[in-house]
Amino acid sequence: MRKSVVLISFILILSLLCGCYSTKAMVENPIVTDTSATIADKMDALGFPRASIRNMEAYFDGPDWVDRVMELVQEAQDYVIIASFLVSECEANEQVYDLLCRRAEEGLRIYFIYDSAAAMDMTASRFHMKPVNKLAKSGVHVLEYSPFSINRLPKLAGMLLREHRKFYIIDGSIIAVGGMNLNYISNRSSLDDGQRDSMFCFRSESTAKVLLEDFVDFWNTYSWEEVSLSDFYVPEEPQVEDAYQAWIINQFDRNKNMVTTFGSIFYSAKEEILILPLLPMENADTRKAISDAVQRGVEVQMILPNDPRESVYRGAHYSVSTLADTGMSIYPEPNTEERKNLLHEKTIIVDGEYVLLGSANFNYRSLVLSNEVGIMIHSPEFAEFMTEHYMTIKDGCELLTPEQTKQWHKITWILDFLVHFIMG
Amino acid sequence: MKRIVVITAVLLLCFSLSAAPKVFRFGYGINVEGNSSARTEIKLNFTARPFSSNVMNPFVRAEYGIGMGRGGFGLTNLTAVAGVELFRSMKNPLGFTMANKGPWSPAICAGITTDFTDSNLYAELSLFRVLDKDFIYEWFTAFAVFDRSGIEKWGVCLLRLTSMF
Repeated sequence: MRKSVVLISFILILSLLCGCYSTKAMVENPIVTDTSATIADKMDALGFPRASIRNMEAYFDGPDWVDRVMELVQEAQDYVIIASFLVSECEANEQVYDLLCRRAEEGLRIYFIYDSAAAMDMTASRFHMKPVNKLAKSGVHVLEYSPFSINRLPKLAGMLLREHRKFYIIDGSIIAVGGMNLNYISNRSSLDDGQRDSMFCFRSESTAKVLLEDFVDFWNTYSWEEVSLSDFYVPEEPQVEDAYQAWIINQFDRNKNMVTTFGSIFYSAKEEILILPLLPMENADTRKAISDAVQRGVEVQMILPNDPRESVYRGAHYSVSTLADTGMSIYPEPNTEERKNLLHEKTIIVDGEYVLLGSANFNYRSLVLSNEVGIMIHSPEFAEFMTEHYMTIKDGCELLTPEQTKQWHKITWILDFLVHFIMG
Repeated sequence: MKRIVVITAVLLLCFSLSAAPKVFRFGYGINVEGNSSARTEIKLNFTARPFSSNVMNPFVRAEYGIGMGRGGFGLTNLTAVAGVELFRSMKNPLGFTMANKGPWSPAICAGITTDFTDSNLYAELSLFRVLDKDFIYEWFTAFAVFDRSGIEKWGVCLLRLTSMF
């Protein structure tokens, strides 16, 4: 009897840990690892919905994005849906929260999802944050994902799963995704003490349709204020010749869409993969995928952000010291005054053809422990634009040397790596 | 037996990492309670609400754990109950305890409690009970255990926290 209980428990634990938290699909799923198939083929084969994107706008500075959010919310006619990981009110964004309250009071339907980790923001925002309780009081429909509360103690391990998506849906037509939160450090200028980040705003009814279906599913799973898909009108999508072809990768409730997406990139790239990561804490599967790409002759490049948080710096640099063996080219950012603010962008550019935008960091947490949203865009024109942006950031960065690799491979930094590998 | 309790606790941790379903039909959690036999008990509970209905929402629950106090340290009775929600109201006087809006939903339940040699009837009234979609929070739940002569003991479950999956 006792042996049976132990055996059943062991099998259950193993299957849960290996099944839910494994990234094996990145290197073992036959669709993903087929090196003869294009990324487009794989996105279709993996079942990611196609979308058409037009009027792409890129924002690389917090205040510019705040101004655009103000316009979008002000001009919204029917509904606004916002998801953000870290949210808090401060001088840099109080006008956004005030406007959301005012528009909700005027009758605009606003749905606002944020992660409970917002209250534990460990960035510079912690010195400038006020809670956003006024939203609910003004009639904004608010959902705090997986609240950190002593009442939820039985779900202690479940607290590891976080809502990391940043997206906006306005009137079923305008979409925004990217890395910017609605907090101090995201909304301040990078020339001041904000972080260097990006948001992308575009028109796409087909994207809205997909994100709305997922939003309704997600919202009804966690909120008592249930909604129906028919509550959200989506206009007909105009056929435009120069629209970008895209695929929507929405990862929530553990569907591991990011694992297969990242794997598809590494096993389909022919020439070059350019990565702007945050917290590049990788595991053996990611290292193998990178290594396999390099062995096929693909130039895999990554710019390593100069994270001002000491523990994150140690963890990320230890991780990078293990990535050097894969043969990828790593460009650490120099520790200079103009780069003192955190590079928070999350973008991958492949073969000058594809660009992956969204909320996902290039790390284990984003692969399996967070809800993430990504847009894979197939457009040489947009890829060229993003490559130029990448090169601007790369300018002044020197290739990682063997001495640096040795210097960062410190046993004492392993703990920092392990902590941020899980906690991000 | 202790090993089974430990293994169960580890399994609960793993369940808490599983994917969220559209409807949360099963749950597990912890109770802390005191009773008129001068014992404090900490129990694990397993809950099922098979219909996940908005009206009455019948549920079954089993509880088992450890107790201390008069009579020393030892395992508790196993308690198995069936119950219903009395109502659900979004006008929630306990809403201040929750991060998200959720209903106040008092419940009653009845069943048996057994030490595996003798069984008695068990009844409880949970007035301070609020719901998240994936959680049930209960405070100060009153309960009584009846033998053939009447109330054998009574007590208060200070809190019962149930995570649904």
